[in-house]
Amino acid sequence: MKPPSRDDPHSWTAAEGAGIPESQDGPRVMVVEDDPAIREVLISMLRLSGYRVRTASEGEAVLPAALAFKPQLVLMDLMLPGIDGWELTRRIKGHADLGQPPVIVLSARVREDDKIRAIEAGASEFVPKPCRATTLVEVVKRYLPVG
Amino acid sequence: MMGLVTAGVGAAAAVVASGLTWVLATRSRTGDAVFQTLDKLAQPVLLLDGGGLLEAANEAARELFGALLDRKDRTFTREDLIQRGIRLEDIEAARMSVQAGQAWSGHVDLRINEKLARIAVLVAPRTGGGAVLLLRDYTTEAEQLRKLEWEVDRLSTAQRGLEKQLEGRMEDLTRLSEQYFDLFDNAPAFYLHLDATQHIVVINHAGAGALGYEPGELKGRGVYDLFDPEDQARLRKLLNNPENLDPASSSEFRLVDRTGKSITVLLSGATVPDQGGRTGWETRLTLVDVGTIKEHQVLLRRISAELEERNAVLELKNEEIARADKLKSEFLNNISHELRTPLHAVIGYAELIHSGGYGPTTELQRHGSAGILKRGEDLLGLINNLLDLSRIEAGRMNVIIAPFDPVAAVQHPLETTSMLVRNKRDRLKLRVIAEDAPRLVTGDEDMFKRVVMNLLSNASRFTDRGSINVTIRRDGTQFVTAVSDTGVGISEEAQKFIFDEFRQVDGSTTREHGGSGLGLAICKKLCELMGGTISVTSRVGQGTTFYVRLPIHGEEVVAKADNKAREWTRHETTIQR
Repeated sequence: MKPPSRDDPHSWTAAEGAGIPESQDGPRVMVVEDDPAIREVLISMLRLSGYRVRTASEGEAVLPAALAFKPQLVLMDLMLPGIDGWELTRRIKGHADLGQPPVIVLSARVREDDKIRAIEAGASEFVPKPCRATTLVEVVKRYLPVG
Repeated sequence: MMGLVTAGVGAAAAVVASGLTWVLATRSRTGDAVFQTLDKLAQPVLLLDGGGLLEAANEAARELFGALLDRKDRTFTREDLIQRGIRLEDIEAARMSVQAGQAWSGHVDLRINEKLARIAVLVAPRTGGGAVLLLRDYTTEAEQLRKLEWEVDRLSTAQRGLEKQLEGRMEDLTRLSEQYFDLFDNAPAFYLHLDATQHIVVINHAGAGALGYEPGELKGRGVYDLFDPEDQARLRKLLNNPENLDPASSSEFRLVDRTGKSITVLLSGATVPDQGGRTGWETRLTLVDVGTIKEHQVLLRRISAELEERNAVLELKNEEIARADKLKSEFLNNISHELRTPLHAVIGYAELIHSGGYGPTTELQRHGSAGILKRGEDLLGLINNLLDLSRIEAGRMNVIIAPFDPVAAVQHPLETTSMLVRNKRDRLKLRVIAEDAPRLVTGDEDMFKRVVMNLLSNASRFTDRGSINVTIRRDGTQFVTAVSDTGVGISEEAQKFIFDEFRQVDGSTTREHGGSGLGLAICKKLCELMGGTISVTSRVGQGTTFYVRLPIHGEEVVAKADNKAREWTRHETTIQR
């Protein structure tokens, strides 16, 4: 885990987790997000709120990672390289070994039909990007309380 | 007429006068006999002696004049005569003629027994002096004459009327015949009238022209000459058996024009009795140039082909438009996604720093990260507004009509606004005034909320202290939602373009107060979509009030439905532009 670059904004790259420690027994949340900066922000927020977080950034990697991590909740982006978020939601909700965790879709695709398709695919909630961290954490906590 | 009568009387008088001459000559011998003879005359006769005295009057005269003749002195004074309507000049003329030994005739209107009688008079000199007056009462004839004249007059008036009518009819007839000949000559067909021996009586201009002749040249020609020799026998057979001719069916024949060129025609015809039946029967033929028909068919085919082509082009264009529309919509969706995604990270990082998630912060760091958050959210507002505006512009904004409570609808925007102004909460009050608000209106609740939200967010940005009030009241068939503030106000000049896109009062207001300058443009468009209006009153330094007027419509329907089952029917209306 390397620390974020301090001096040169041009050489900036996202740091997974941003050095924020993760609790060893927190509830398991899987973040599916292809934007590294958003991924970093989400990991930070969720860890600060007491969750254990694993991430996947492309469609194909999601199911193997989920089978290894067994998330209790999935935060799902919709626009992803490879398999898109709607299809991934369907697959996660339909997989016998994953125990149908709640999927919260977090997306900048805010058009009404995109939302409807997400709910139809099995998403429990749709949160539009951008949103306040507090708003998102509130929604996550509703489905998966900490401690 | 009058002259004739006078002449007639004159002739009769001459005969009588010559008789009288004899009678008078023999008077001395047989005086009584003379008077007996005179009395037998139907016409009144008076005899005057040389002194102008009345010598004798026959029975008829006595009947006519009555008591007038019984005077002892037997004189007729001039006054007597004039009194009875006789003209003085007539008396004089008669006296002069008699003195000159000539007869005088004329007519006088005599008043006898209060009646006016028209009398013809012949005054003839008597041999040996004196005069004989032969009279004839023709009052009845005169009356008859007058009647006759009147009748003649009446008849001639009637005749003039008839003549005029006839003239009109003739004009009509001329016009009709001109129209008929125009139709006949210029019809898109050749017309031929043939006599019983199949010679041409009449051919129309179109027919003669097509064959290269003047119509006059063909008159009297045998019809077979105009046809192709190969077709002549067939035609002969047809014309010799007129029962085979049928105006409703036609067969093909070939004509040969003056230059020998062949013209294919469809021939139909009928045989009718000719005028007056002089030659028995007349055959009327109608020939239609097949070439013309074919030309029309070709033209029709070409036109329909062109139309089909155009339809295909239109269809293609429609597809293109639909595709472009879809692309545009996709583009909007994508651009929205691309703008929102990095913003999420910006807001997220700022929040992490501000909340201390990235470790303890100084006051300046918190201030800076709050600034990023605030501006980030402004940017989100701008993106949302831009997308709304393009959706409205593209006609993709659907108005969803359903009943709603306007007072309840403003609660959420009001709560959001009170969050926005919580740092001014000790000096800025937010209120809803709904004393005369309709309980239910019919419209698009979401749109209404967005308009109110935009206006409140505006008010909160430009008002530092005082109050922001939302007043909802009924106004006839509309309801007015007024959002008033005690903020900086808007100059009269700026009020003119405040609802235009990207027009805040000036660029600096955006930087000082935030906002995109799109909110009011969106409000205006949303109000229009809902069938309402938005207006503003403001004073610089005192505050601003925006009035949103929307139709209440359907409140009575709503009330009815409300009583029934509280079940609302939702209509969805797509506003097409």
